[in-house]
Amino acid sequence: MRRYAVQRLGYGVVTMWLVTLCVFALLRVSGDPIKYMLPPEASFSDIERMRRVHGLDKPLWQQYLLFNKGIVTGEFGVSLRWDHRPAFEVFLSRLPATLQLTTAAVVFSVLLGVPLGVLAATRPNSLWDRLGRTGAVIGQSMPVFWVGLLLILLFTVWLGWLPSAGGIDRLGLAGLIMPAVSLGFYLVAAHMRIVRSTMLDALSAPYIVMVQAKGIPRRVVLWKHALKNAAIPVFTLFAVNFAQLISGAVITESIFAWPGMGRLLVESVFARDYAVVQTVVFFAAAMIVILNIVVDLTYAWLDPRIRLG
Amino acid sequence: MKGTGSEVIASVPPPLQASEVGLAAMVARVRNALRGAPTCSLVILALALICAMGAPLLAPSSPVVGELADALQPPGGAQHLLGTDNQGRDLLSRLIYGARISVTIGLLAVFVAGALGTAVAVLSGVYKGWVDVVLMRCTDAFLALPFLMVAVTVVSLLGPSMLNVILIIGLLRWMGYARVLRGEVLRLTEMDFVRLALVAGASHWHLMRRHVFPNLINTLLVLGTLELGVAVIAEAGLSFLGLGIPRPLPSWGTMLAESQQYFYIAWWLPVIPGLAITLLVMASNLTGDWLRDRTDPTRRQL
Amino acid sequence: MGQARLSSVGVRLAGVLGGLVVLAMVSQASGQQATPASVAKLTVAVDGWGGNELDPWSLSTVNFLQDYFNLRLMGQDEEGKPVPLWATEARLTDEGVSFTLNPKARWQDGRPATAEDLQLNFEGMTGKFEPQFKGLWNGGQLRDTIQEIQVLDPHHIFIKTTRPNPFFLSQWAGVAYHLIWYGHAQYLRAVGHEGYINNPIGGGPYKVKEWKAGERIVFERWEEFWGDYPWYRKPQAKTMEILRVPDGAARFALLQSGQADVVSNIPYAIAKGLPRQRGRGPWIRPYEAAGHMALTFVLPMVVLEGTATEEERHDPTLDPRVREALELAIDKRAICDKAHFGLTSPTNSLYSPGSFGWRADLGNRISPYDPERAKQLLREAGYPEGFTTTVHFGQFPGRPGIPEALDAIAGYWARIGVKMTAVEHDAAQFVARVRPPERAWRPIMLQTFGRLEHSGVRVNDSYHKDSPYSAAWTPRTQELWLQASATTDEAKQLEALAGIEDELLQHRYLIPLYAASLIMGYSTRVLAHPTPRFAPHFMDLDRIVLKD
Repeated sequence: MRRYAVQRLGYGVVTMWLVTLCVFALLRVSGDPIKYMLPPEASFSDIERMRRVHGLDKPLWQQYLLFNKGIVTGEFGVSLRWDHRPAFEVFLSRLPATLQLTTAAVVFSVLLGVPLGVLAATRPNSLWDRLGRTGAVIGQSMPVFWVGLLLILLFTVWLGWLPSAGGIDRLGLAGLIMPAVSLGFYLVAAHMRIVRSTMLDALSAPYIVMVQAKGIPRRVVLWKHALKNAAIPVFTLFAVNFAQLISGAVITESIFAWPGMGRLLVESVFARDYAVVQTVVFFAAAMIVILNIVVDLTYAWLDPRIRLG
Repeated sequence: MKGTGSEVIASVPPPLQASEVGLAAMVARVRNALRGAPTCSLVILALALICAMGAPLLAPSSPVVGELADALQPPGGAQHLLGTDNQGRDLLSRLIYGARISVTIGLLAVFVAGALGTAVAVLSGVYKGWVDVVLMRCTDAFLALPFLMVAVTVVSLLGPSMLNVILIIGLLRWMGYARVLRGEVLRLTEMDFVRLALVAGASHWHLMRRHVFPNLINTLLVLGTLELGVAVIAEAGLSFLGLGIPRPLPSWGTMLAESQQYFYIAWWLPVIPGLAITLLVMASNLTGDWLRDRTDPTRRQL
Repeated sequence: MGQARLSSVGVRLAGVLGGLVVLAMVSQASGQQATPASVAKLTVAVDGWGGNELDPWSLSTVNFLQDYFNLRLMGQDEEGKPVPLWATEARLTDEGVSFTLNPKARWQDGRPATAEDLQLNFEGMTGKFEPQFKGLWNGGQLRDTIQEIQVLDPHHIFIKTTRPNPFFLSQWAGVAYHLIWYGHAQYLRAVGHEGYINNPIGGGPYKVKEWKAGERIVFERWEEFWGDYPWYRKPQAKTMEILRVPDGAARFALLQSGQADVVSNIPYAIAKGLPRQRGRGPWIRPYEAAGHMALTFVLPMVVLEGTATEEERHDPTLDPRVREALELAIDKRAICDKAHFGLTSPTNSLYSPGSFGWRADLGNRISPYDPERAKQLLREAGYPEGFTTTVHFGQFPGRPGIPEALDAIAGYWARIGVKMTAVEHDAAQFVARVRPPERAWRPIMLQTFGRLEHSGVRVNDSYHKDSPYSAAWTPRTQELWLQASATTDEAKQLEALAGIEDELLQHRYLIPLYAASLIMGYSTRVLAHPTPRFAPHFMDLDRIVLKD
């Protein structure tokens, strides 16, 4: 098991290095940030001066070495568009909002998806089940931004119940509802389907049937045994979908003017703010890689061949 | 797919019976193949395909030229069944041409991603060793890259166009194929018939071409159908952010993006294109699910 | 008997009338007292304010939030005329420029704002204190024009310019439009860049209370603000919060639901149904001609500069008949009336309506809509079947209506056989690659132009060879531009501007399209917003008058 864990961690490091290489290459190739920074009235000499002032006239390989050194020492460079604050500081200031959003989305999807899945599993092929499954498929098919737009249309424009832009410290928890729902919407369907299928499998397993025959109430059987089986696949699903969640967060944050990491990323990419983009992608990728490692290790631990081998 | 090698190789069909010949037999075979099919979804997919191929014939008017005086008509009019947009363009025509764009992009993106993913999976699974390790690390790395970051960068380099959208989606979706197919390939290479072939001196390339690849087609079909929906949504997302199909071409995503400021006066502009996207994606999801169940009867229906 | 009844009726009548009069007086009085001296909060939502830098000596681009906490030398009143702010007087000659500063001016920590501070500001902006302070994005231009700064006494300063600079006041003093803000120089030098951005101390009516870069800023009124002009004094709102919400519909949703009182840049489709006066619900007021748009044919310049490829030399847009046809095929009035819901106006000038250089007779002579003649011209030019072309554009905060206009133009051109796709580029990239020699956006681009006073140069800077935001030029426009930028004589400048415009329109290198207005939205809380009629972006938020 230890060997496996070490191997997986090693793979993780290699993956992270590849990611940073990709990002560095893509950014440098896509254009010079100074050009994108200054207003149209800036003269050619202004541009040259700015480039010199920001140290962007060094050769590429030198910049790459500095960049790598920076990651190892924990300095992620200085932002170009955020008042020359350290890129790490800019990233940290936006991270909480995205974490709040993604957590809320996941919580919403679990709170809604799991009971729906249980309901569907306990009444297989009934009307509820078919309705639920259809609803789930529809939910998974709706584009994230469409859900967001429809929610705004309904709850802000027509009903006026919920605020639609700003983030938690401005709006409080009420402002979290719509973005979380639009982000978590498609996950509800996924969770529901996974829970339903694993529970159906579990419920038809011989020992469950036996336990029921012994007279243990169905509810206990349901929640204690069958649901436990669903926990791992749900977690795996979450881990696998985490990258998609981050992508979805970008669009959701744009629609709801949510002050998070996703919006920061998009704006920094458009502005070619190298340091900030590199920092955000690094940490987002790190989260994804770590999650994947955790999932792999969990499965490995569950598999006695690997655990004991 | 479980089973021994002999089931997988079964490529020699049994001799035809008399009752299996003829139109009736053909119809019977088709009906058998379509057993349990989600009819609505297949109809929707067929409709999308028809729109894609015959858009100029089907659309009642031009998707690009509109009469400004007719702008923002609600659906239900005699001239414009689904209403008009802010330029007076017929929404139904734009929807049909938009289907053409979505289907084309979806199919081509699936093709690109599928080809790339299959190549990686086959190379990984057949050669194993460090080739496998390197390719899998690359797969992980790509999985960790934010879709939008790559999209913005590619678009800013190459400009927004249909080809670049296909490229972006293809480049960022191949990992799913790679992972799933790699598992299949690994399983295939463990089987007796493959080992026998290797012992008999078959080259890796021969192996990949004759034995591995044909057995992946089923899974590829399933994955491809499911990924069609993903590609459609990805394209809509890119167009929504202004990184996709240039105007005035009627991509459904662009139509959604444009509709935002007309919420208050023209509800059909955001609702109808979004509905179209949802229906197409739903159709692809349900069909993919059905295909998966058909090709792997041991798995319970989800 | 009758007399008694009459008198009692009369008394009652008098009583009623008197009551009515009293009622009227009371209501009028209470109406006059309806504007409180101070309200708690004002919330504003905008689509963008420029850059995110608080440090006035390290601006990489304009940041309109600086209006509220740092100082400007002069401002504009509702007519657009220069009014004193920090500087009570400004005099421009060929030798240089002199300012008289308001002796009451102070920084928010109580220290007086003197001429020496102004001098330090100029030095910091030109990059003298690098690497601490990066200098302004146009600090190079400032350094080129300043020969020497003479502080005559704490409130008088004279800046000797290297050569006559007719643009000094509009670029650096804010008379046309402010792109420069002056900060608390001694504090900046004492705490450095880091210290400043974590606790900015300015001199304007508001103090920075909370700042979330790129998202929102919360200002708190400075109770001891020194300004006592009618147009620059202690604001009514104790707290002002400015939010950045890029999406137009979401911004309006904030207004409609009461979460914001003022919203900048309401999309035309939403604005069209709203009243222009305060009433029962949200109401609007436009900043007229905030900017204007034109289609620019890039290939003639490319050929002139010698960087055209072989294929480009045969492009249809090089033929003036084709360019004329393309203009005749567009119904500019319909675009403004229908696609923009009447909130923009068609134009035929290279300069914004009402701005310096605008000639009404030329500007209002809109090109006719004549698709038949357009088709005929195309046939003459050798394109009876039409051709395919591309228009490049970008979208900028405060410049609405572009995608709708391009969609309509695509439709109009399709009718004469010209297949057009409009390719969008992100704003920064669009601006960056317009410049020669790259001139990336071939063959046609849609360019936005701010008001002439806005861009800080009174002679529009887009029509000469070395222009960074180049539109079109010919040797003649080059000559005229050089003439105009070497004189402070306004009559001569106007003559040169007219010459440039005539030359370029005659060659049809540009198709002027429409003058865009910027729609401001207000809630019922807002009574008034004194601000210039023509302005390129939201201004004077500190002058908003609220009911409660």
